[in-house]
Amino acid sequence: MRSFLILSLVLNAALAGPVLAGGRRPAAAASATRVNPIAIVFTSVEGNGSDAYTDAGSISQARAVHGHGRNARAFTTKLFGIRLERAGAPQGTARLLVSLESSDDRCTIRIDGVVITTTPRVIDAQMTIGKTTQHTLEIEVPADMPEGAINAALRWEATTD
Amino acid sequence: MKKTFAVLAAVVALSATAAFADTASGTLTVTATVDSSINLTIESAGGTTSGTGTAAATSALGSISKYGSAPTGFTLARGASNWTLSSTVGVQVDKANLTSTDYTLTAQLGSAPASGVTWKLNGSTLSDSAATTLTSTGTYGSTGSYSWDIVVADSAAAAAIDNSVSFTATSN
Repeated sequence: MRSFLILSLVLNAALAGPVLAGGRRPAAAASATRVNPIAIVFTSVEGNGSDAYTDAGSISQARAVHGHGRNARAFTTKLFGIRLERAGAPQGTARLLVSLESSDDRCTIRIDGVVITTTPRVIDAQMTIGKTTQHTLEIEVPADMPEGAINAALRWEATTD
Repeated sequence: MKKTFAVLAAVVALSATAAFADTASGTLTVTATVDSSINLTIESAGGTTSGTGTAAATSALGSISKYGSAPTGFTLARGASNWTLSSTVGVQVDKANLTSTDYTLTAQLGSAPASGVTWKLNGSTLSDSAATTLTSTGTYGSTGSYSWDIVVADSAAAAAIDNSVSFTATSN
């Protein structure tokens, strides 16, 4: 019984150090994990911080066409950047995922060639915090989709490793 | 005692994970505008052709004469005072992001025809001053075949008869 209690206390101290023994750790380390959360920042698009906006412009079969007749599809692409920020300690990596929050079902949206759906897809499994990465947004429009506006919202999520 | 240890270890592991994982989220709103469009291609024509399947095809007939052979893809009919080379031109119009169900197709010569030479499409004489309607109910996505006749008068001078035909499709 006594040996179990000692083992338990050792495990507590080793695994739960940041939580239970925070007073004995440097202040900066405690601040990085507990106080300053990470944030997603979009670049090369409109808007600020984690809520951004981009207009991909006009899409027409006459300008960018693949296929022929009823199977024809028009594409447009746009480059943008994403950076994960963490005040004070921009280090470490995170997993970056994206999903479709809302969209017109008739067109297809891809990020870096990956079709985006309502199920989150991994875009970067180990994204370096503090570093901007470039990504390609692609919108594919079938020939039978009526002309008009497209409006979609992409939800991005980053989780530190 | 074993059960107690297992529960304790699980609790410790969970609290350690919660302390290090951090999540952030963001939204990128995307807008775009889909424009309707149509596309015209010359699919076939008499003569030695190049550029078929595009909007700028060329047809070479070579040297032609009333008592010679008909050029590739043409027939030759000799009349009392003229002769006619006959063939067809295939024109296809595709649509995209458009609710229109048919189109109007017109044709017009690029320059005035040589004296004594008449260009006809679908039975109508073409001119360089006004467009001639070939159809006002063209079907998208299928090749329309239009008769193409070049009528040469016996009195016409022996010279080049080069010309161009501009096709224009307009969605109805």
